[in-house]
Amino acid sequence: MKIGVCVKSTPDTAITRFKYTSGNDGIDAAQVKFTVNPYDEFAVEEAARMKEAHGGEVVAVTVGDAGAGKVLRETLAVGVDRGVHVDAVNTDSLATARLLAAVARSEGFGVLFCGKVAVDDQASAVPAMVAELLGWPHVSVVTAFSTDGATFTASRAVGGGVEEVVTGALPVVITAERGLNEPRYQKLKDIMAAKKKVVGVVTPESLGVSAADLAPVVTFSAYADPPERPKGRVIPGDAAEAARELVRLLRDEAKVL
Amino acid sequence: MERDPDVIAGYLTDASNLRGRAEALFRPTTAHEVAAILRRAQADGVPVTPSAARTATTGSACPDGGWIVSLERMRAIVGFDGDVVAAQAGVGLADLDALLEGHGRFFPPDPTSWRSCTLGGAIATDASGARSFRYGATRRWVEALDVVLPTGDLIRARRGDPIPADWPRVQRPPSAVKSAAGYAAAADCVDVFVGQEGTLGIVTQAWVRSLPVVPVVGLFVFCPDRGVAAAMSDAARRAARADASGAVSPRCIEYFDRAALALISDLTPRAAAGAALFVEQPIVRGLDAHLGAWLELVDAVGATADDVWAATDRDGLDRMHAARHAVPARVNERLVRAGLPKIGTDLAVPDAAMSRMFDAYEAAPVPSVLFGHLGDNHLHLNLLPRSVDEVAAARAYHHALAAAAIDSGGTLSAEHGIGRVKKAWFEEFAPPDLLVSSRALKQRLDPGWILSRGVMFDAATPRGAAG
Repeated sequence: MKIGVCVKSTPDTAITRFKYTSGNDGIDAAQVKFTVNPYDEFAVEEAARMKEAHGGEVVAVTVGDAGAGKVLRETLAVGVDRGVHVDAVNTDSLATARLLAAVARSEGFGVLFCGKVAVDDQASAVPAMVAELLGWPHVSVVTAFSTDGATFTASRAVGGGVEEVVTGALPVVITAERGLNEPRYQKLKDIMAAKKKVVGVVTPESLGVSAADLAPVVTFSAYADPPERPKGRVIPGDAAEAARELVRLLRDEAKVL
Repeated sequence: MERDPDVIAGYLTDASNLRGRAEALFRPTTAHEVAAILRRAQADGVPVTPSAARTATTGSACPDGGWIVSLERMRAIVGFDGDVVAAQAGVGLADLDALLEGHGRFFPPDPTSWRSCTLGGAIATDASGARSFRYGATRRWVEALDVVLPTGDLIRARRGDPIPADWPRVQRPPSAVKSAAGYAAAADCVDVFVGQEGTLGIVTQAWVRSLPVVPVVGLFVFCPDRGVAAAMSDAARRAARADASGAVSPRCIEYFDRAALALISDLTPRAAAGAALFVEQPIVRGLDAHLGAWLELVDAVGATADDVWAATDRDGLDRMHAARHAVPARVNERLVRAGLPKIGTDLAVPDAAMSRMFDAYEAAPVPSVLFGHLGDNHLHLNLLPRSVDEVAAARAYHHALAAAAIDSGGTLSAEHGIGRVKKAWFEEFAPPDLLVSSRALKQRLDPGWILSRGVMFDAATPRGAAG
């Protein structure tokens, strides 16, 4: 079985300091170090484990510019066999979903793993759209997954300590939550082996997706920082007096007591 | 002046777990305030202990009566010209790095305590760390210092400034080994005040150099045994010395024995291995060239590529660093739980003596964990006694190891310094000329022996007679 996994190149939030483009209509990508979306790493690991258990081929797919293709290569050292880089601009979630669905169809994936959210736009929109476009079931925010090659069982934490278990038949789109697995350590041997692996570059046209299909239905008009937090207040005086004043402020002013 | 014993109590210990005593605490905000305190102390014969972040393992920050001068309120970064940072002594190394990182640069010394220690502390102890294999200790990065002398005089020492003619010169035989044991054979006035453990002056501001950030790949090589790890370290060191920007030119070479790896088995891909090396390879030739060369080296020494954990991004490197730093942290946890003292070595030896030292470390009479800076022949043997009897045995063994290290041309302390805990051994092992000349310099700069009294050495004559 071909096991698909969607990978997005997102800013490395640990080291990135964001700057907006001059028109405030986007992020200045030149200032950003990109890496694999952290939740996609769980998706990659789950795909690799499924292959190790059942055989097959793990194919990672990304949509984006050459930089995204480079980030996709990082997954080749941690269990992915082959990459497909759709060379296109990420205009909005639906356009991206159309491209990913087209790849899933042409590759004939039996299952598609994604991260539950991309840490850049936090939209959580694409996987559900892909499932809808493919006519597949979709289970989101999955913390445990198993399959016998024909059917699957997926668990998701639905809050309040309650676990929901979903079963069904493949194919399915699964989105990975933290805790689904522990992504593997990268081995030098695998990094070297990854150099021989292939990332195929395809275009929207070659996938049969037209420019009209990719016309954005959502446009991003402006980016701005959240409003600055008001300055903290220091209450002077001795402890008993300050505590009294604090309680008064919390009750009368902040109205939280 | 703060006299509240509850406040002072927070300043009486460092990572050595010695507990000092003091009558008063000062938290000056300017060098002139520091000077006024020292002038008065010198006049009244009051001992003064400078205090930074108290991360030293040697007791050098534990006062023996008198006053404490904490630099915690002098933590301004004063200037940055793209290379040299001017900062007050109380600034944290982490704050310094945060500023530099914004400019794509970093401060090369990386003591284990860098998240909590201060620039002044790093200078006073000539701090080093894993990366000192490549970058050396703090001394190399100091350009200038503002120092308040024990007499209350303020001086600004710049690199190349001659040492005043009437300051006795420290007599110290040249050594090929990284050492933090005693005063340096200073080449200029700056050198005098780096690594003096707060005994010759209080640094209030420093100008330190930085380097451009270089991307690195981290490799954690699991080896079947010590021999393979040592062979790999030797080969990597030879390569790095031959060509500092070659395909194999690590900036640190860290060693872990089987016991150390067992402590961190949840943080690495391997539950067990005979030994391991951790190296950071700066990427100066393209990642592939470095990885290929290291792979050849791994094969050549009898490890296998499947045994090499590789980190090519920040996440992976953070995981490796977390594993590395967990070793000493978990050793300490274990000892604290058992209520027993930590007995850890800080010895370093010349290349030729390392193999014999390894044998000696591995023959320890009590359970132990061995790890550290193999590139500098500087391992930390942590002895883990299980009983009071074993504590005595461990101490005796540590002494024998120290004697063997010194005998082979090594040092009692490669990075932690002498402080209070090792001064008796320093007295025993240091060359007599070094002790005599060091005391002469101390006497000249600090006639009342007020500053960090009892750190590094005592006055030659009993304290009462020395006045």
